[in-house]
Amino acid sequence: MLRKYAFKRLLIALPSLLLATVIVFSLSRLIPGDVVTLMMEENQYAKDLAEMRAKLGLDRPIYRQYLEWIGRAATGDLGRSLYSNRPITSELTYRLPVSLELGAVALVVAVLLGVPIGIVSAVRRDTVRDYVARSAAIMGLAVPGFWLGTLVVVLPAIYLGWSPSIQYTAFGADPWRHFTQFLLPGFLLGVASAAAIMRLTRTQLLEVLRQDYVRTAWAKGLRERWVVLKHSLKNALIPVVTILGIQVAQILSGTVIFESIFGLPGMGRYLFDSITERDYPAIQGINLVVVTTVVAINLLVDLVYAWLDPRIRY
Amino acid sequence: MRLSRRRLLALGGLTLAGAAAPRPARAATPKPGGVFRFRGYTPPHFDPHLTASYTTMINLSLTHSRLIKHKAGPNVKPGTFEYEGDLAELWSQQDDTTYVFKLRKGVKWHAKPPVNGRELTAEDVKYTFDRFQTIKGNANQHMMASLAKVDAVDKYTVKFTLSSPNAWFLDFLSNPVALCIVPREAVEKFTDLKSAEAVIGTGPWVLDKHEPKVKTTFVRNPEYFVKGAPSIERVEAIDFPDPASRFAAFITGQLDAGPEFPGMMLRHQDVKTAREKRPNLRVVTFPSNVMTHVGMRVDTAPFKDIRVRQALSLALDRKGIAEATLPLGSVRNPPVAAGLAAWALPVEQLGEGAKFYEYNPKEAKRLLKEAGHGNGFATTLTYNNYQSQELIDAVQMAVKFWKDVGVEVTVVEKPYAAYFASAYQGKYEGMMMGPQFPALDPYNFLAQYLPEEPKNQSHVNDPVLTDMILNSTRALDEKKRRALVHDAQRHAAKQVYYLRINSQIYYAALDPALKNFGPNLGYDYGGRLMAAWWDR
Amino acid sequence: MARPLDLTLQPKWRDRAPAARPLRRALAAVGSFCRRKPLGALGGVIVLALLVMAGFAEWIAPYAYDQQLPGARLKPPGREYLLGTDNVGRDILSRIVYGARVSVTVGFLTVLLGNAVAAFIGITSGYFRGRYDILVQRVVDAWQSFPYLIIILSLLAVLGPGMLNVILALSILVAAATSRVIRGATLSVVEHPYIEAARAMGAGHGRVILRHVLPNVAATIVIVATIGLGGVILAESALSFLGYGVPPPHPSWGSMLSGSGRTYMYSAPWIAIWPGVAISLVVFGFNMLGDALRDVLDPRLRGS
Repeated sequence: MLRKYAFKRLLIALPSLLLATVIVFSLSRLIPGDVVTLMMEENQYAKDLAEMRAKLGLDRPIYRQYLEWIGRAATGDLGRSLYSNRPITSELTYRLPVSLELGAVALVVAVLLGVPIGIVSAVRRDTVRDYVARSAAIMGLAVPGFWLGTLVVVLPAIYLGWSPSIQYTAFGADPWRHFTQFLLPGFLLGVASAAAIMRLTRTQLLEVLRQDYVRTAWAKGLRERWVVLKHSLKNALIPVVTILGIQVAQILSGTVIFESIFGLPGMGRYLFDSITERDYPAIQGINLVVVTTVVAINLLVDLVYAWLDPRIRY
Repeated sequence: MRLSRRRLLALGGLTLAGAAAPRPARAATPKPGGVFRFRGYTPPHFDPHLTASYTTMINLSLTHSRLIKHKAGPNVKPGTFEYEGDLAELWSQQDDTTYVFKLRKGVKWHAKPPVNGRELTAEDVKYTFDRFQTIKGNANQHMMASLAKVDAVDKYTVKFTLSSPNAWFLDFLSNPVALCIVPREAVEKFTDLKSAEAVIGTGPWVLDKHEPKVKTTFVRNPEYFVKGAPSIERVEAIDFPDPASRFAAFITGQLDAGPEFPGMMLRHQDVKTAREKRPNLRVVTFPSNVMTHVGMRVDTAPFKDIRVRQALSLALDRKGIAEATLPLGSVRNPPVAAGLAAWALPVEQLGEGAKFYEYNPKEAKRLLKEAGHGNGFATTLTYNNYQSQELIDAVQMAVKFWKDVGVEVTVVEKPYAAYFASAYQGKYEGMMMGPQFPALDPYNFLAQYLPEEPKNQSHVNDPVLTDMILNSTRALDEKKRRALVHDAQRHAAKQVYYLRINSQIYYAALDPALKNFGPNLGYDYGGRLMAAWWDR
Repeated sequence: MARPLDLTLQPKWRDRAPAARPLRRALAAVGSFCRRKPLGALGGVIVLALLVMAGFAEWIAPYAYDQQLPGARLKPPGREYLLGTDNVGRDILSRIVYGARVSVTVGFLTVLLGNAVAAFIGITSGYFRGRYDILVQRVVDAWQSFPYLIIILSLLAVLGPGMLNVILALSILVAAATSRVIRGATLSVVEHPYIEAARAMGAGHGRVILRHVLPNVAATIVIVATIGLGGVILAESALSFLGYGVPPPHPSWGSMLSGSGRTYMYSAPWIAIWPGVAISLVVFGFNMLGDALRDVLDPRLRGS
């Protein structure tokens, strides 16, 4: 049953993914012509205009370029970076895990913060605790992330003489240090998503708590209240799983900023650097990988949802 | 102009032409060992003939050698660039277009395949320069434009023949940009010198590990041809993008030198905090040679009229702009950047041109009226923000100052690539504004007044000035050359072809335990670090 | 004939205020809202202050936003300059006030454009269903797979900097995200039998959409727009930090915070504090207001 559902979801996801690749691909075609000239002249990406156009794939009809690109991408070849002349895939194998680790820490933090606050908010609805909890969560998302990040790096340096390490530690060098260097940026990144999760948890729980069977059980006393809470939570949290998918895209966005402030060599920063260097093949390749990752995670989330709630496996 | 016999070149105090080995002058005995960590840059690649990027040159200055290099050490005045022998033991000028270099014997390449530590010969020098001049895509080729051919006379002798006399030839040769000597085998094995494995030189450090956008590590070259150097065992260039985080790392002791461009500097706003948090910090100040100026289309109206240019200059409160963006001090720039201490003429000595550096909006309005623009006029200004808040503020303030005298300036901001290929090369309407290439010789600054130069952003065509500049290029006698360069600056200042904004005073910050190190302008980190050592 | 299923007021309220004049009814509604949703009311006050600052900047701000006050560089907050001055000598209070105009302009234009497109997509999708719906939803899915900053930066890399391009790029994203919510709301409205009844009576699609669907979906649109505004203002500040925000001379809070604010962090922290507070307050306000509106206006939306 689940397998059939999984297959169905895959069928639905694939066209979206393909459409996304078309979007990614067409971005490069929007480059103004004089920029192509500049890339050749200033960055010396090619020896002459003809070679520059060939490198960007602009010398063939567009559908053929797209098919060639996507075909090669499917075999793992994303082309070469104009800036460094290194294969983009090898660069990404190095950087993608860094962003994924950062994102994972952020997601865990978001859930660990958002769900309890949402529960408190729902159970103690419209009381001071609810207001404080909700305000705190929204403040976490309202303060611009780069500002929080800057403060967290700079203030301890001034007042405590400590600052996060400027040198990135790879997993092989020192596993523990490698892990801990993601904690601070991951926490800050997760705080913004915590608000969205809090919101959804709160409303879902409220919805469930209002049901008649719950109200009767509640009225019956404390022990029942606890049991009821456990059951309501199970039903309420299932939809929260769906929002995780959207949050992943949100979190990956934040990696651009936090990787820059904390010096983590991840994909977000790689994209930003590629944009600064006008490295269009790299921009295309990164977008492709990012989009595929998000779609894959969303698919996973859908499957988890279906596994938790048999009702939707239609 | 025929020169007699062999002429030993004396330059700035050197009585014997290039005979001195770069022996570090030290009072105490240097202690070997230690790590030097500074803010590094990940280059696009490591091939010096295929990029103009300083990020490449900084890294290569640690691993490669040149024929002659700039003198370095705590006794060298920052902003001066006397040269001394690096790979060349002696050199001489046989006539005005021929230079002969005698190479040091026993110089070994790094012990990395495929070169494997063999000895450097004149063939390597010839190979390097041939490749430099013929390879396609070398943005620096103009540096050797006057070089006609290079001959390896014998194993240790190289002869350079120029097509016409160029008094700046040796200055170009000693510049740390792009003229390091490279091995043929590396190019043959790796196709080009772009990858980290192809970084094989004869310099004081060997490239050990390169992690792009993270860190590049260099270790001491045990076979370096200067005995006893380098003292520092390992050098780490740490790439870190965010200025606030970099500074936090500096004050918590994770970096040994200030983290700002061009290396080892502090932002003015951070100096006080840095001094508080790192006691006994060694701070050296000297003017920057990064000069920002306003270029104007002097070949079209209204900028064709000298009175308009003078008015625009008088309307600018350069001191005000400097105080707003560079709180700890700045220098005024004559036509040659003030950072070049040996060649720049102080503004007070510019004669007639000096008064246009003053802030006099009333006089500006009068001049505009006299030129027929009593009601002002409108124009555009193209620039790129270089991700620099100082530049953004300076542009906004300048626009306001011009507005006050009736000139309405519309700012057109362009992304870097577009700006570089258009406004920076003179393709713009009205005005442009931006920092210029931080050259270490005056010719590069004066070249912006020459009609064929792409960098002539103001479209200057002044035959008198052109003559002055070309004559200075042919004046092999340094004293005469200096006089001509000064004359050119006086003339250019009077004509107000460019409006030059003040440059910052660099605050170089170093850990006090680092001995025998003298900061300077330019990308020759290797040369300056070579004789330094840690006292701890 | 009264419009059926008017969700702008819950039945309870209308019963409680029989035959009252519209103004009094509106005031009573607002008062009730304030009592029931104090956080939302606080948010509303903040939003109102923002709009007033944006609209009446010339009257509220003591100086022009680009005026270089002589001898007044880096002055801390005090009696003369309430919020202090920056390194160029500009009054920060004035720049915050004019900055409200920039935030409002960018925010409102983005949300307006984005939601207009989203409403079109969402309503037609939910109403017509069928293959059109499936196709459109696949495209929206595709768009939503992009982390917003990544797609905006890529777009701006191609389009170039500038306020208009920022608005364009941001509104494309807003459109994708909110169209789904609007579609959801449309789906539930369309289920109701009166829609079929109206069609049966001969009303054309356009009429049905405009007279019956749109008013009932309006509440949804207002809610997502309100919350979306907060997101747009945050996105603009993130773009400023990366160097792609609204270029000068417009004093956007994001560029004040990420530019001179960060440079003078140690010596003149007030340059950063005030725009930071402004951004946080405004985003907080929009979120709280939107949440409260949602609680009150449309219970169906709670799940999204």
